[in-house]
Amino acid sequence: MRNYLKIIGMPLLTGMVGILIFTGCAAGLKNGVKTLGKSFSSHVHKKDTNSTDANATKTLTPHDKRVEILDDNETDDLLWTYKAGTAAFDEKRFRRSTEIFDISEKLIKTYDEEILAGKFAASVASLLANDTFMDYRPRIYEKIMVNTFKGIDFMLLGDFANARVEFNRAMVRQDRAKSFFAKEIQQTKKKIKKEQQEKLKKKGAKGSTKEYKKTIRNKKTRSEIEKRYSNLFAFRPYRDFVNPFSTYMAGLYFYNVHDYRKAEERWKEAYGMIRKLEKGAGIVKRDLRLAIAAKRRGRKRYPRHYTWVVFFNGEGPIKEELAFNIPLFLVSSNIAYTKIALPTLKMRKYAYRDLEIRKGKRRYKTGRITSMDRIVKAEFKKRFDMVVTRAIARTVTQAIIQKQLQDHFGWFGALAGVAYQATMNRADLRIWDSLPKDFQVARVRSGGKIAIRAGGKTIYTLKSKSKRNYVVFVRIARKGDKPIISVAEFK
Amino acid sequence: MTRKSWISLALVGLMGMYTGCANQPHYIDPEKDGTSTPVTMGLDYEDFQRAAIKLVDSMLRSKYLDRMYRMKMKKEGKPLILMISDFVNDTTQRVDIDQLVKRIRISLLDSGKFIITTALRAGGAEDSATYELRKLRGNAEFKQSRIAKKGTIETPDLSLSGKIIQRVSKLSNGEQRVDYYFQMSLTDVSSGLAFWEGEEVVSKAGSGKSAPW
Repeated sequence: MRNYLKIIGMPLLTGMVGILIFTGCAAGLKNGVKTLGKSFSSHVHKKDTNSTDANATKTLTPHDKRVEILDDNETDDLLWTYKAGTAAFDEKRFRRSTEIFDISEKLIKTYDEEILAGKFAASVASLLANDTFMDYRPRIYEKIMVNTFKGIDFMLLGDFANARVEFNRAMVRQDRAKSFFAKEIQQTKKKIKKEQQEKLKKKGAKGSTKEYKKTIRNKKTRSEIEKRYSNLFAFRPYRDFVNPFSTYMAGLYFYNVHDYRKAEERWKEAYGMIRKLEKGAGIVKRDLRLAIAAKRRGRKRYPRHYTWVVFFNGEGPIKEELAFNIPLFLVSSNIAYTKIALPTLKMRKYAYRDLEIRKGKRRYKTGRITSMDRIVKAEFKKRFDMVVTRAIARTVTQAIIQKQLQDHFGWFGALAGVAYQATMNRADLRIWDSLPKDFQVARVRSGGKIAIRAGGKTIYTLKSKSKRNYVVFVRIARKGDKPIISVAEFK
Repeated sequence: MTRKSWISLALVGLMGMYTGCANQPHYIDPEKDGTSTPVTMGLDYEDFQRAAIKLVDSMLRSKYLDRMYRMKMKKEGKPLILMISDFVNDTTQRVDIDQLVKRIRISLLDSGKFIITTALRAGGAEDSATYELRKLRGNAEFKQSRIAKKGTIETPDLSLSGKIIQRVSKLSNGEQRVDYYFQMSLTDVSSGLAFWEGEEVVSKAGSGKSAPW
C-alpha cells in the first residue's frame, strides 16, 4: 500500500513543484500587464498645469509607441485590447481606437462561441490553479461598451455610416445579454462539476463532490461570505444587463443624423431605464420631448440647434482580494477551516461632482444619466455565485490534496501543500479599469461661446455656430487632471 | 525497411498530399445559385447579388416605369435619367453599400431604359470631373469651344434611394435567425411620387452562440 502511494505521490509532488514554478512566471506576466495598464492611464492622470487653456483639445504628447506595441505583438489578450482601445480614444486616435476594439470584438466572438459550446480549453488548469491562469473572459457590460466606444470614435471621425453600425451592435448586444448569460452560467456549472471530478480521480482522491456540496450548501459558509458582501450588494440595479448610456448615445447619434423616430425610440428606452434612479433622467426626458417635436415635422430638419456636453467622470471600479476563513466539510476530519480568496469591487472617486456649462448669463449643470459602478456591480453580483462556487470547489479540492500530502509525506508534504495552497488561493483581480465612474450630460442651444467649467475653472470654450449641432465629449479621470476634450460637429 | 513502415510512409505521404490540396486556393462558381452555403450570419457577396438581381427584375417589370420610359422616348428620344440618392445601412454589418448599388446600376444601364447621372448624388457629385471641367471656362490654356456650356448638365427624372434593415430573433432550438430587408424606392423627382418600390428579404438561421457579425 505504501509503495502504491509513493507511485501516485511522486508525480503529484513533481506536479506541485511544476505549478509553483509556473505561478512564478504568471505573476511576472501579470505584473507586466499591470505596469502597462498604469502607463496607459498615466497620461490621463497627468496633473494639469494650465487647466484654463482652451487648447486642451490639442493632442497630448505623443504616446504612439505605447499603442503601436500592438502592431508588433498581435495580442490575444482581451483585457489588453480594452485598455489599448481606451488609451487610443484618450489620445484622440479614433481610427486606431476602432481598429483595436475590432480586435476585442473578434476575441469576444471566439470566447462567446467557446463558452456556449462548453469548450473551456484554457480553463483546464483553473480548478487546481486559480482563475488568473485562465484567459480573461468578456463581461457583458464590456461587450456593450466596446461598441459604444467605437460608435463614439466613428462619430468623432465624422464616419456616421459606421457609427450607426456600432450603435446598432450595442443595442443587439443588450437584447442578447439575458439569454446569453443564462446559457453561459449553465455551461460553466456543468464544466466545473466535470472538471473537479476528473481532477480528483487523477489524483486518486475520493468523495470530493459530497464534501463540496456540503460546504457550498452549508448555511455557515454562506453567511460567512454573504456577511462580507452585504454592503457591496446593497444597491438598485438597472434592468438586466442594460447600459442606459449606450442607449442614450444611440439616441443622440440618431437625433444628429436626423432620424428623429429612432432617436425617440432610444431616448424613450433610456429614460425608462433611469427614471427614479438617476438625477439626469430629467435631461433625457427633455431630449425625448425634443425628438418628438422634431419627428412631428416629418422629414424636415429641426430648425433649432443644440450642443450636448457628455462628461466621462472619474474612474470605474477596480477589484481587490478579500481573503477569509470558511468552514470545510471533509469526510476524514469533520470540519476544518480554510482560507478562501474572493474578489471584491472597490469603488473609486469622481473627478468632479458635475460640470457647469455657461452660455451668456445662463448656467447649466451636467446630470448623471448612468453610473458605471452600478452596471459593473450588477454583473459582478450576478456572476458572484459562480465565482464562489468555483472558489469553494477549488478550495475543497486543494484541502483534500493537502491532507493527502500531509498523510503520505509528513512534514515535507504538508509544507509543499501549504506553499501550494498559498499560491493557488488567489482571486482574479483583472478588470477593465479605464472606464469612467459615471456618465453625465447637459444640453444647451448652439450659437456663440459655450464655456465648460470644472471645479470653478473654465476648462474649454466652444465657439459654436448657431446653425450647427455639437456633441462635446469631456473625459476627466481624476480631479486636477488635464481634461481630454473632443468635439463632433453635425450639420 | 519492413512492409509495415512502407505502408505507414505511403499513408503519411497521402495525407500530406491531401492536406496540400485542401489548402490550395480554388475558384468557386458564384453564378450557380445555391452552390455555396452561407459563410456567415452577416452579409456576403451572394446576398448582395441575389437581392440586386431580384430588385432590378422587379423594377424592370414595373408598368408605371415602362410607361414613363415610353413617354420620354417619344418626347425626347432619351432614356430615363436616374440619380443615386441616400442608401442607409441600418444593420450591424460593416458593409460597403456601394457594392449593392453598383450591381443595380450595372443591370439598369444594361436594360437600356436608364442612364445614371454621376454629377449628382446625395452629399455631392459622385464624379467631380463634370464640375472641374466647367471651372476651366475662360482659361486660355483650354480650347473653350470644347468646354461644356452653361445649362448642359442633365437634370434627373428619377431618384433611387434605399435601406438595409436587420432583424435578429431567437429560434426555439437555441439558434438565431437574422433577416435582412433590402428596401428601395424610385421617386419621380419632379412630382415627389414613388413610381416603384421593392423589398427583398434575405434570411439566415444559424448558431446563436455569438452575435451575428
